[in-house]
Amino acid sequence: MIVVVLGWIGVAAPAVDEPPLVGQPAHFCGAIGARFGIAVRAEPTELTVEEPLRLTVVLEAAGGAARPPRRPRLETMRGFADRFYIEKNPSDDPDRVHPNGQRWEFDYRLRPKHPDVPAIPRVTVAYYRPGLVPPSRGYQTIASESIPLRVRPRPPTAAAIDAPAFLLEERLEPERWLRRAPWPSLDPSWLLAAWLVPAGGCLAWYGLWRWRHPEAAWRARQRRSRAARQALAALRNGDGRSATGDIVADYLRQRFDLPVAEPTPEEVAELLRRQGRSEEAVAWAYEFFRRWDERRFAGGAAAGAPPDLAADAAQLIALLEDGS
Amino acid sequence: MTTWPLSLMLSLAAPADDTTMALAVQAVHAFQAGTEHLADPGRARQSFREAAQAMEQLRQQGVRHPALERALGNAWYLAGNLPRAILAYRRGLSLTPDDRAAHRNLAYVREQVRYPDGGTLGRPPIDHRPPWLPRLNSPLGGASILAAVTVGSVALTRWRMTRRGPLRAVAALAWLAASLLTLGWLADAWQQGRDLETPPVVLATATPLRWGNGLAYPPKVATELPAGTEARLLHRRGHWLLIELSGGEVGWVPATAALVADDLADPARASPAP
Repeated sequence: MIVVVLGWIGVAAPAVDEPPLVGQPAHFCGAIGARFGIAVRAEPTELTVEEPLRLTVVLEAAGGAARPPRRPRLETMRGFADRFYIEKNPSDDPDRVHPNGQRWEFDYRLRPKHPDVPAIPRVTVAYYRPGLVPPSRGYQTIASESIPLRVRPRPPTAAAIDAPAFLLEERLEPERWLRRAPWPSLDPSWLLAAWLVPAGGCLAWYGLWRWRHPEAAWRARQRRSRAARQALAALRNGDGRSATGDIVADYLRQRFDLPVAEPTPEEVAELLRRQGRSEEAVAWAYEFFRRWDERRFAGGAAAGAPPDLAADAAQLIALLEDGS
Repeated sequence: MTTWPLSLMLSLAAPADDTTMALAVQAVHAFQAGTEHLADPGRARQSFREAAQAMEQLRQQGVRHPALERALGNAWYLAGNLPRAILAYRRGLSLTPDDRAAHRNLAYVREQVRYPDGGTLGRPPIDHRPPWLPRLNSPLGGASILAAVTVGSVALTRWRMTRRGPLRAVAALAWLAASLLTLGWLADAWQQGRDLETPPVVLATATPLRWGNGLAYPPKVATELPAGTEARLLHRRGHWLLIELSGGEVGWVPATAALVADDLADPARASPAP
């Protein structure tokens, strides 16, 4: 509790004299007397924002009062309204009057608005002292000291925790946290290795295979030609739907752009020479078509390809593919 | 030829230091205490905060694990610290982008950020990466590429030997898969490099985006960026950060108003717990 009392001056009260309206201050409390003193006390002085405190303003007359004071209006005083919520008092009369009739106490309930309120400001009150000339000079102002306050911020209200179940029910595995991160990132050289190692290995494998199986490599190349593959299949099937010479001619049309439907041996030889085929292949082709013409014009074509001519045809195709 | 499988196995088997394990257990107990006192929100939040702080200490000791980051994000969110929760989830996803639980939690927490009505300013970037896709510049991705290239090479070689049609198709498919995986690898490596170069930033408090590094510079936009806004750090100058929002807006914020994930370690260099 802090009590501050200011300026007590004991002087005999003059006779009652009505205070003039001229020069009347806003904080005039209606008291008339020779001398008044003012004191204030507050309880508590350490509190939280918006927590109430009781401020008591004590006015005391020295040497008697011609008229008692009314309740001072804190809300009109500087520094109160912007710092405190002031609860309205139902009456302007004092809350307590001393038995000697010279001391009046007024209680107030204040609530600091924010934590930056450093103190209760000075309470300023004016009374009227009669007998001075001119009468307007009779208004006397007295003020209390301010009372330091310590206002704490209001603790945050604990709102309910609104969270979905999956946040609350997450399984916690401390032993797992302490392991290394599951997938470290790899150096870019790994990427290069992932491409080069298998590709290089397979290249070496293929080279070794070709070295060890040259005939297999030839067969493989032979299969590369779709036209050759189809022609060889037709020759193998030997179903009689196509004559051997027609199969080979069809192959030559697809593979070497032979322009005629039923070529002569000379035309075939000429075409293959232009295509840069070997003399052996050209000779094979010439001989094959010559024999085919002999057989065809002798009336044997419709019966299908005899085995020896089919073998010659396959050999011719192989020779041509080998040279490609 | 390879040493990572061995080192990985050794590290998995390596026992953690007693104090580290004690800290981890302390974090778990604090989290559980929080869940047990949900009826008393103040007390529960305090427990969750203690759990989060213990987990942060684990991180300071070098512990890096996506499960820890996810648990840390949960603890921070439940403690009421939304920005730190976002940061933790993002750190975890940088370790394992296919962590679906972390994606789900991050999406939920992002929904709680109070963005200004209208517009897209400060909104988080749209992630086009499929949430099921694991990080490819990892041993798993490397093994996948190796397998695809191997299958493709063998199939192609055998096709050259035999000229059987299906082998060529198998080779083509395998090479295509290997190419796609390689593109994914390169994209992930680029993203990881970007995260290290321009680390993610989350605003801890609502703050305006300013034209310059000082309070004297006016805000670039009238509305403040809310706490939880995500951005990337472009530059530091004194106590100010130059950040880039997902929409491309660039501006300055005080360093005290932002959390920076500048300890996003390359997982390859992340050390196990001591």
